[in-house]
Amino acid sequence: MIDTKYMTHAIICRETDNALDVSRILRDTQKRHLVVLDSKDYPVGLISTIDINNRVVAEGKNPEKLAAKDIMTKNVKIVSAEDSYDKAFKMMTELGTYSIPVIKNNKLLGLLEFMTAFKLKQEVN
Amino acid sequence: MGLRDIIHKMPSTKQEISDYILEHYSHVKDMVKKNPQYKETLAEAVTSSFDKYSKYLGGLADKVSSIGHVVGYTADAWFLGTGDIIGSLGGKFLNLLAQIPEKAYGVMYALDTGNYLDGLQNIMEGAVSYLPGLTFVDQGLTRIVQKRMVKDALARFEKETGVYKPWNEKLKEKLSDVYTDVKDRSENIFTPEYQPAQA
Repeated sequence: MIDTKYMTHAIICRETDNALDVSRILRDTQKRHLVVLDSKDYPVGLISTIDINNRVVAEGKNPEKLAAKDIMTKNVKIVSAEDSYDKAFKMMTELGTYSIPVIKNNKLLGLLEFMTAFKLKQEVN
Repeated sequence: MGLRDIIHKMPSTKQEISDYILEHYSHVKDMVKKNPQYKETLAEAVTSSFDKYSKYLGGLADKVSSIGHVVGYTADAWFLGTGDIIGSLGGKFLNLLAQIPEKAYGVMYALDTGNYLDGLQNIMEGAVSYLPGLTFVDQGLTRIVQKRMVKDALARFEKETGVYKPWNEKLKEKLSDVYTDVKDRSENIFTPEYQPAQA
């Protein structure tokens, strides 16, 4: 079981937010990526600053006319709060990511970081 | 003590931490001036932080590391003075051996506190310091812990006195001078119910 006390906050936007809003959320929080949630708080995608650059600016598109769902990377890998730290650690190792979204009852709960999963996996073992 | 401590000494006792906060954070100084009772609040915050982190200060690992730094600076001076890189590398090798206990302690610090970034920074800076002329980049675990104690004590004081601002509000203030239409974005921060392991 992944405990909420070991998770960190996630920066989020809604899939209907426009790309201009998304870029400003990233700017104001000084983060490089965020999680896109649907209306039921389920993580449906990820957007990074590089996505904004490559899929909006470099394509000459109007950021006010594009929604987050149009520019996000879909099929996000997630773990459930019922999963083990070991499973989360292995998934992040395979994906090459430093954090992974955790869900419970099909809603986002928070992010689990790679080093936290590594430490807790050792303790559980 | 590293080279950086000569230029900017970090505090290592409770009194020094209190003095450092009063000197470097003007809002705390103003609050204590207006209400002397806050001095006691600050002392309590410093004690709590000191109790949490002091086990990583000083000790054998730090003393061995100090010897390593002295050897490292000597090797750097030799390299810069003579251009003899082979001789310098000999000194750097001794520097490497002397600092192994502190780097091992850095890993323990990271595992204990969950503060992996600082632990990793300590190890990476140590690795770079083995190059001739670069001993000065090695910040040392003690200095990292001292900085962490100051931040932790300041946050405890601010929370206790009700002036604490979360990171997103501080960012908003900082970025408002640079960009337009900056918001604190609290509605975009999805926070699980948790207390971070580190300060």
